[in-house]
Amino acid sequence: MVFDALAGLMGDTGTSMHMLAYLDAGTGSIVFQWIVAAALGGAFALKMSWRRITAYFSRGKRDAQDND
Amino acid sequence: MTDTRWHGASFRDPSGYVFTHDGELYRTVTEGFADHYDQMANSGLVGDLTERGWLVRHEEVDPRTVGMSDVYRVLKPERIPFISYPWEWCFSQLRDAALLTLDIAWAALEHDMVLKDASAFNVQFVGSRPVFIDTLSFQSYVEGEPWPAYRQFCQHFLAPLELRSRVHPALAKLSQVNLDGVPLDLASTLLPRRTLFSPSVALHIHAHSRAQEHYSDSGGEARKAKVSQRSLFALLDSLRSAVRRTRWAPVGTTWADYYSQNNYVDEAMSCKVDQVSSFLDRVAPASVWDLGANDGRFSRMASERGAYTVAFDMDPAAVEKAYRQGCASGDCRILPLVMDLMNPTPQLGWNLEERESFLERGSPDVVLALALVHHLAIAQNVPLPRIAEFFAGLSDRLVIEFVPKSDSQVQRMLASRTDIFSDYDQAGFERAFSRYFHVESAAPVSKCDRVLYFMRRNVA
Repeated sequence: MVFDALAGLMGDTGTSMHMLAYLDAGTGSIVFQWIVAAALGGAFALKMSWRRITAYFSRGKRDAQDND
Repeated sequence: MTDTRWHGASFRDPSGYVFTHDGELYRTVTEGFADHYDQMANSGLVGDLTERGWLVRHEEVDPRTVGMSDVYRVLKPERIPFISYPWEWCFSQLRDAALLTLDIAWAALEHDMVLKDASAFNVQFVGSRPVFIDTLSFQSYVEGEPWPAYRQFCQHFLAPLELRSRVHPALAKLSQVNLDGVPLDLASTLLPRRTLFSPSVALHIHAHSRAQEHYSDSGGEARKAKVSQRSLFALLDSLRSAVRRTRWAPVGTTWADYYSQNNYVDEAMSCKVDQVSSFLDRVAPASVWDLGANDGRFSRMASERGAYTVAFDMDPAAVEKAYRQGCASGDCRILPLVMDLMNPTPQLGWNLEERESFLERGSPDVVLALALVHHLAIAQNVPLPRIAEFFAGLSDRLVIEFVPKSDSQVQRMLASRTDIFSDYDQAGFERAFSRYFHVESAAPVSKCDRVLYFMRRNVA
């Protein structure tokens, strides 16, 4: 099963469930979030970096237009 | 003598409880939640959210003044004019509530706090503006902790949105049957197979559902789960993209195009508008319920005159149109909701006290019932005396339009059935309503046989 393989890759990363959470987050949902959020985190970092790069160049372009 | 009552829906979260005291609404903050509450205030999260209009405003009151002891704080939140529930919202209302929930979760994380639940019941509407009402839904962020509300968000928002969008808007009722949200295995079964190729649906609903089943006994794995803060932002970003991609166009239903497809309306409408306008100007109501409001044409006349107006209609497309119009105009005094008067929202939840029935949620100054009575009497076989009894339970003042059998709409209804409605005429209508109301004025609607009545409930 693909989930098992992914969970195995994640390894033991420590214990973290908050004692004050009153909501049953669902065992399967937590394990799924653990796998999915890690994968999304990488893509999200790339997305944010790309946004910073495009923002930097668009700002440079705006500055140049203002100077004109 | 004081009267203190705990709210029927406020028992799950030990952080605090909602109660009414002498008719005013309050919320306790328990001692065990004190640190989180202080962090909310000191981190600037509450200030930020209320400043943006995302979180309902509240003031702290002295617990002793409301008969409370052994609590950390007592809050008095601003009152929401009319409480509504997710299955009563049109598609865009649910979508906007979902986006607000994600925006708040994001803002909380930026303040090193976490939104600990994502219940759709935590969002209410003031007119067309969604607002989060659960001030105690935040707790301190602990590094590595997963988002405890991920499943709840998918069940309360994403799954119902996808089902309404891709299967049928009538599936909104699944949220009424499943008060803790639509189970993901059910959503996964109902959604078309092509959604397996939609990355967000495939991930957050189909795969999520399979994982729930596969890992249902993996408590050990769940305890190991550690999610970085960046990954939580990524999860929220992914959910936001998924919600933003949901679409539904309000077309093709009978009632969404009602006004544009009925030629009689052009001739009679201006007469009705004039009559209702002058009545509203004279009475100046603070609250109005418009039953059978369609896209809210007459509701807007009431809201423009300062009345907080709830515009009920059974057709999700008509309500969608009314909501979009309200958003476009920024009208915070008109709340369109989906409601079938033949099967309105009943009391629901634990001890039948968590969610109030349609009838328990207010007592408007005026009820509008325009072009409605024939749908109840002819299409649904409700006898006129029972219709009158229903309206008498709602309000002191009633504006109601009688639509006779000679009207083309009624003729259409009777075309395919036997006319068993021997009492359905103007005299029968007046007889039925005179038991509960007296007629202040009655005016024929020009260019048709309809009559507009302005009634006042008899003093008991």
